[in-house]
Amino acid sequence: MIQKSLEALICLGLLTVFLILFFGVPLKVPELEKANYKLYTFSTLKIMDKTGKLRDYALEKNTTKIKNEMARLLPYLVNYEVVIYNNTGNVTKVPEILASDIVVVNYLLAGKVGNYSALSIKVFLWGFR
Amino acid sequence: MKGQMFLIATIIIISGLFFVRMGIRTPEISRQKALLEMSYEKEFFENMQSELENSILFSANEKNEITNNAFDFMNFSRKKSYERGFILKTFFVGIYSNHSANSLLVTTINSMGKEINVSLNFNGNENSKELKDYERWDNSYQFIPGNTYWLNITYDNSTRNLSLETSATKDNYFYYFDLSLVSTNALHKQKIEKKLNLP
Repeated sequence: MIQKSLEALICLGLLTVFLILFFGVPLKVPELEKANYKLYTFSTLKIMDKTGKLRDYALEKNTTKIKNEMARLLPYLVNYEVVIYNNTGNVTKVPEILASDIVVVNYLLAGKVGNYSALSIKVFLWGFR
Repeated sequence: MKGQMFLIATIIIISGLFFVRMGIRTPEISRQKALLEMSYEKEFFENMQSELENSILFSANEKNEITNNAFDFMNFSRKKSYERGFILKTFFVGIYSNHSANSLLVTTINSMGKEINVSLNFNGNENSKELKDYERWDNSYQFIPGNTYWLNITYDNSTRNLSLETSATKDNYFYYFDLSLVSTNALHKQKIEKKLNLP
């Protein structure tokens, strides 16, 4: 009788653990995480653009300043690199990223007053968990 | 024997719940992902739209370069959109009114991804042309500075009447563009018409 009760309790425990883990904890879906990060990153660039910093840094071709400003605005849990492109190609170094889950966010700029320049800020994100 | 029955029942219940939950979650995830992607596309589209306007605004000091820079930005953003898997279509009309020369230069640009028929009617002067993709078409007219004119544009089953309120003392730049971004999730469209007083 005691043995049967013990077995029933073990099974009940297994079932409870399963229910808690599977239904209680919101599961992270990589595809949703990626789409969310794309939006976060775009919003960050938009904020930086509104303050005027993004245009200045992009025209200076200074990706370090862009990255530093991004880090200040958003606590990133993924890896990211910034590359600036113009009409002919990249104007800053393209990093070698050895990852298969890369997501790219594009932000376009037309320079600034008196200095037209078509530029694209590309942010490469990877390492989603 | 009865103890094993408990275990078997537990496995059956867990498996059943697992499959039921996965069945419910998959379409929900797809829907959420599509919504997030659509939000990103909308932001990207608005970014292109505002920067196309900026390409005009930032070039205001170099009057002869305004249309060239807008055309350059259109080609650039079309290329960048294509890289991201989107199709960007733009129809653009830029009008530079030179008050000292009494001349009005109307430039029409087709970046719709196909050949289109364009008709312009300025003050009763009608011109039409088949414009190839990436082609620009310049037309020059005489005007009296300080007067208001109407430019009727017909293109790709659309018609637009632009009001050109010219200045007697300043040069102006009028522009109209019809922008659309096509993706697998949605179609984003915008039509903008504005006037700039040039320095």
